[in-house]
Amino acid sequence: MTCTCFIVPQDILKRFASDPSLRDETRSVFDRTANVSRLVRAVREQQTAFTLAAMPFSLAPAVALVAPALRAASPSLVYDCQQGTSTPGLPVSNPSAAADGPTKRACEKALAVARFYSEVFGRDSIDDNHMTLVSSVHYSVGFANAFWNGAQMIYGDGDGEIFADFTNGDDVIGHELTHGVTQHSAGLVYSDEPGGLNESFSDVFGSMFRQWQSGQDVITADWLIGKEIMGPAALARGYTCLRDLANPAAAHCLAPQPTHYSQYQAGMDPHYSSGIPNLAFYKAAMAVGGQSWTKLGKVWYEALTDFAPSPNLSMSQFANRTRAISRNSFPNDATFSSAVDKAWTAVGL
Amino acid sequence: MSTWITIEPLGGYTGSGAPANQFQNAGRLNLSSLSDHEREQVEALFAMPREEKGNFQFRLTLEDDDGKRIVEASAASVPESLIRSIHTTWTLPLTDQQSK
Repeated sequence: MTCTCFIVPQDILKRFASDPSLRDETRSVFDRTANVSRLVRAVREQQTAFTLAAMPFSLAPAVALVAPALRAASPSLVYDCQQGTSTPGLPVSNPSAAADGPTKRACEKALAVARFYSEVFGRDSIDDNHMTLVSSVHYSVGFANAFWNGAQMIYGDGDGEIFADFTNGDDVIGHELTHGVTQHSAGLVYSDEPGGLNESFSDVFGSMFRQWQSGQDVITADWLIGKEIMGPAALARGYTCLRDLANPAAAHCLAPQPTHYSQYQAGMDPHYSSGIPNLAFYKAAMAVGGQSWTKLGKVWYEALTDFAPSPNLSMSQFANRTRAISRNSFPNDATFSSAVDKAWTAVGL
Repeated sequence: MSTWITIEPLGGYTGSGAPANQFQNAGRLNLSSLSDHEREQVEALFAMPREEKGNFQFRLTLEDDDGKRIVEASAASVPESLIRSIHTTWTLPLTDQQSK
């Protein structure tokens, strides 16, 4: 049985199906493929529902909980933009064995981030529904950025002086994939306070992924964002990172940030205001100790994903969610909930 | 009459638009250097700006004798040669200490 119709995500098929630059025949092939893919997915979901319904009542929820872990990992596809800007670009076959560094890293690190979400939080890919991981590399020429475009991750090669290749950074890939997780959970808008939270979640989970992968605790972690993408000219000037969760305003950051909510102003760039919740997470992690993802990370994850979509979530609303979760989930650990409370209070929230 | 267009990425991992950044990502081209097709693409963006809010946008600033006009557009709707004109530079000059 061929599985090609499962591999390309539905939104990409739909995008090609309505791309005016493609020939009518090609568009209609993509349109048909999108419809087949949707039908097959519906059948698969129905089969799962029937299977669960046929089980003894007490077993079904348990199977539903472990099912994502038992399923094969979501495929990680990589496309090569070849210095162009059309996405996704040309598909790369067997990207995990590619000789091209960015292709191999984009593939393997995306899988590693998905594994982090699965093993630590029980999440099944970006959408918690086995979404295919799609990455494009070599976007444009010397492009010094990486981004999530609503459906996939896109990486530039960096200018080579201030920024190195963006796939070098484990936290870069964790950051971009987390934008997808946020889109498929809280659905935060990308401006004002929810925009700052959106950016902060990507930094916090990107950093946690890096710590998890290296087995670091809160003391041995460096809490730097973008350490591995600093180019020679940036390092020569004394910049060691893009941002620093432990010290957002530090002079060693290429993009220093505010550290207290009193500095927040409406309309602030989300990459700027994210310093406030970033510092709250760091302070709570240091007070709790151990590994950031085991307890505190789960509180942050639950506050992000276990509520109805809340596109206009404010920073204080999120802070209060984490306060409530830390109290309710660990009723016998007042030290833990106090650490969370004090961390937010310290940044003015 | 000369018309210039400046392009800046907003958002993404680096958050190029954040105010305290020590680097800048931007490109600037004369509109006449674009192909006819790309010029039409740019003119269409300014004629009918769309509300496009996402984690990553390009801000385009068109400057001519009438002044400045600004739109924000998704990566998919911006001409390739404009995106390829973007380069990374320092926001601030070297301090004495940094240049040693």
